[in-house]
Amino acid sequence: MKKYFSIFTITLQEYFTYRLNFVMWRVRQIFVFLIPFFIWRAILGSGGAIYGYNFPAIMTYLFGTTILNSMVMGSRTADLGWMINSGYLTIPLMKPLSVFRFLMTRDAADKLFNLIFIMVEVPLLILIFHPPVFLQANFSFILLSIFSTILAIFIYFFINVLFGALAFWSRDIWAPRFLLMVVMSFATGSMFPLDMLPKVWQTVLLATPFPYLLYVPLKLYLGQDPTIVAAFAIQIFWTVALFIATKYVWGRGMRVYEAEGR
Amino acid sequence: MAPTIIVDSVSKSYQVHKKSPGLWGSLSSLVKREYTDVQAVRDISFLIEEGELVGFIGPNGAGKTTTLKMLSGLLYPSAGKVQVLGSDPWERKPEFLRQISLVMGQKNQLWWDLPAEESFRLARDIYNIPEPVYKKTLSNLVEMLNIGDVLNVQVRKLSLGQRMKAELVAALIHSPKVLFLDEPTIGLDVVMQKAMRDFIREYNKHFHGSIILTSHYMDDVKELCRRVIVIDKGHIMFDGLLADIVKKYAKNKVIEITLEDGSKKEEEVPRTKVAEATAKILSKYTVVDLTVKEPEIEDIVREMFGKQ
Amino acid sequence: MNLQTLKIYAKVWLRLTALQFQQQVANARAAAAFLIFGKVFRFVTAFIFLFVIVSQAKVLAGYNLAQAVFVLALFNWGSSLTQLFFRGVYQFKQKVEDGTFDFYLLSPISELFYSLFSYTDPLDAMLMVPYTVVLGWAWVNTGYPVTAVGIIVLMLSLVAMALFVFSVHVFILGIGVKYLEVDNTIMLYHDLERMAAYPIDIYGKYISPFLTYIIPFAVLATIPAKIIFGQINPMMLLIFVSLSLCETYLALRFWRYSLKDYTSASS
Repeated sequence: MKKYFSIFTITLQEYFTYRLNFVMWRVRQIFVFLIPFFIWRAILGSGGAIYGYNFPAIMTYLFGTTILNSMVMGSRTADLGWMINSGYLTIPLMKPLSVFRFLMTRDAADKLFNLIFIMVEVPLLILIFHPPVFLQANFSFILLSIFSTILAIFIYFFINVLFGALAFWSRDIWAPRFLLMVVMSFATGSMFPLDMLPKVWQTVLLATPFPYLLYVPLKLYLGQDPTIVAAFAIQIFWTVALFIATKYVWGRGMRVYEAEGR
Repeated sequence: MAPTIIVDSVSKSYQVHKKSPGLWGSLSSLVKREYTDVQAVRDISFLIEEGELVGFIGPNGAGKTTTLKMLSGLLYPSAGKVQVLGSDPWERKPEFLRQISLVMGQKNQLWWDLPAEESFRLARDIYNIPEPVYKKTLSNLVEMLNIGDVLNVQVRKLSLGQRMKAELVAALIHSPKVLFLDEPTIGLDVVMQKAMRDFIREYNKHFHGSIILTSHYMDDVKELCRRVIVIDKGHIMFDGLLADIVKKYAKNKVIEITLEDGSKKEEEVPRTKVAEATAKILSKYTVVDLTVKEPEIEDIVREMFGKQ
Repeated sequence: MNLQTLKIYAKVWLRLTALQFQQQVANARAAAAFLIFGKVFRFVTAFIFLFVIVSQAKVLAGYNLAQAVFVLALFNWGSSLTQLFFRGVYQFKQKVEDGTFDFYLLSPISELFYSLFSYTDPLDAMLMVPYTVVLGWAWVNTGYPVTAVGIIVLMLSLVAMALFVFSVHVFILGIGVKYLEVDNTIMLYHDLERMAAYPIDIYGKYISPFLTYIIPFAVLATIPAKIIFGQINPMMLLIFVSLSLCETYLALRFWRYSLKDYTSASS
């Protein structure tokens, strides 16, 4: 256990080494929030509603995705592909560690770190802009949402490992990763709530794992949509399916890695 | 005519950020940073004339590379004045840059995934070399370095020696008047090192350019340079003919004797006591042959660095 | 800069682009497909977002759907076209770390040119075709006639855009040389730049003047659009060109200043 604790603290220390990068990173988090905030304010700030969302509802959605983003998408596993290609993976492999646990520990450090800062930044934003936010009083919705968030964390971890594992077979891993990021920024619902889209689109998107990273956990929190429980079932399916796929692909990849003897 | 290179009381220092260990140390370094000054070069001065081939020697971190980088305009001197070919390198005027070249043994300018020839063509365009001149220089260099057969091979597939030779071609394609070579033989095997040395000597002979060479292999310097500048911890410790290092720094001489049974013995004695010691040896042994030698330069230089 | 120098730079740029392309083909054949698809996807989803919200709300800060779409199309066109030439910024940190930047400094062509212009991707250039078509379509769709004056306004805006984007990139490179950490700064720039994809007016009475007159992201889309919609005087463009010139001057000053601190990766 102790070894994972020191991985945890070392990961955290890395963030502070580059001070400017660190500051810019946090400033970015605020800007990522500001653009949709102003758009929604321009559209709904003076009253009215679109697709059943009034200003408080959309603000809750926006703050919710911001917080969820820091927990779910905060990850260091994105550099797994680089670790494989550069041969750096050999270092954790040679140590008495489980590679998955090693990666997850770094992710945990990242998430904790994100969460601490977002807990400072979000109140700050609320203080500046006074947006109306809806707080869920029904405890069962909160519980469901927390459970869904935990699954989301695992889904994202598996997706990251799968994309990183591409590096076992190919050197150009950043292009697929770019595509993944672009698709995710739309399909997770971080741009806008997916139920603003036509029904058919929603059905198609909900068949992919992406909405389960942000949109579904948040909808569970809001507790508005009765069909969302079915979505919860699909989320469990995706978690299991991606877990199996990751295990399989990783196993195949390790054979290639050792064969190359890097 | 003014010397090709004038270095007048030049210093260079860097700021390095210090961090106390642990998570708390990292956190506090975010708010308050402590810096320490590292003096890479302290108040050095020297002149180099046209056509000279000067060796820069010193241990790692002595300031050799920093000096070369100031001479080629990469680094801004913290104090003092540098002049190369009549201009301040830091201004990096195109006319100046056209006349110099810096080869770094540990860095490469060749495009990794493409044949070396592509990088040469890029250099041709950058230096705006007319096609016939380019062709002639290229074929000269390729012949001297004997790498005609690998020009069309991806650089990543070349051996270190071949790559270093290709680097040299890329660096010399514009026929620079001043050439800075930073550890050009590092990591090469003995045969390649020799090939490299032969090339540098030939190049100096044919092109009359000034060359400054840094190395921590004494063989490079011994074979190529008449004049050496010894630098350690940013100070110039010696500047002069290689042969004079021996006179100035070697306090001892080595007496080598061959005995009747063919076995050899060596003894180091202080310079002033050579006659005395020789007499003593002759009286003690039956000696077939006796020579009094200067010690090896390596040993002298090692001793110079060791003392500090 | 005389004609001879210009010719050398053009030749070097062509050679660099060709080498870059060859390198890409040698190294990452599949990557191009992923990149193109990713860019098109991003392009399309940005429009979907706008359609989804403005088609219901009818109006976004005084702009109707067609106008908002035109602003977005214009932003996408201008930012892609200018950044086509400045892609070197993404490789810059690595180039400083592995010492390639030393060679940029040693070459007789400008190190800024070398650092920024060395990564033009011909495939990106190809994407400009659909971007331009979409821009033309969006323009016609607004109901404002496509006139010669309008096109001149667009071209002049492009000058202001290019200068402004150039100055920002030089500034980022300066930070890269000085602090060796540039990744999040570039990303921050991209986030900031995205603010220009929507009419600057939506950002309220403090932020929109800032984005118009201090760091003029507004020139990327809102300003030329407003001129074409007849909301502001075309002469305003001259102000923005001079503003961009000032920013370029400051950025170049900062660049010179950063270089003095350059330590060169140790070897």
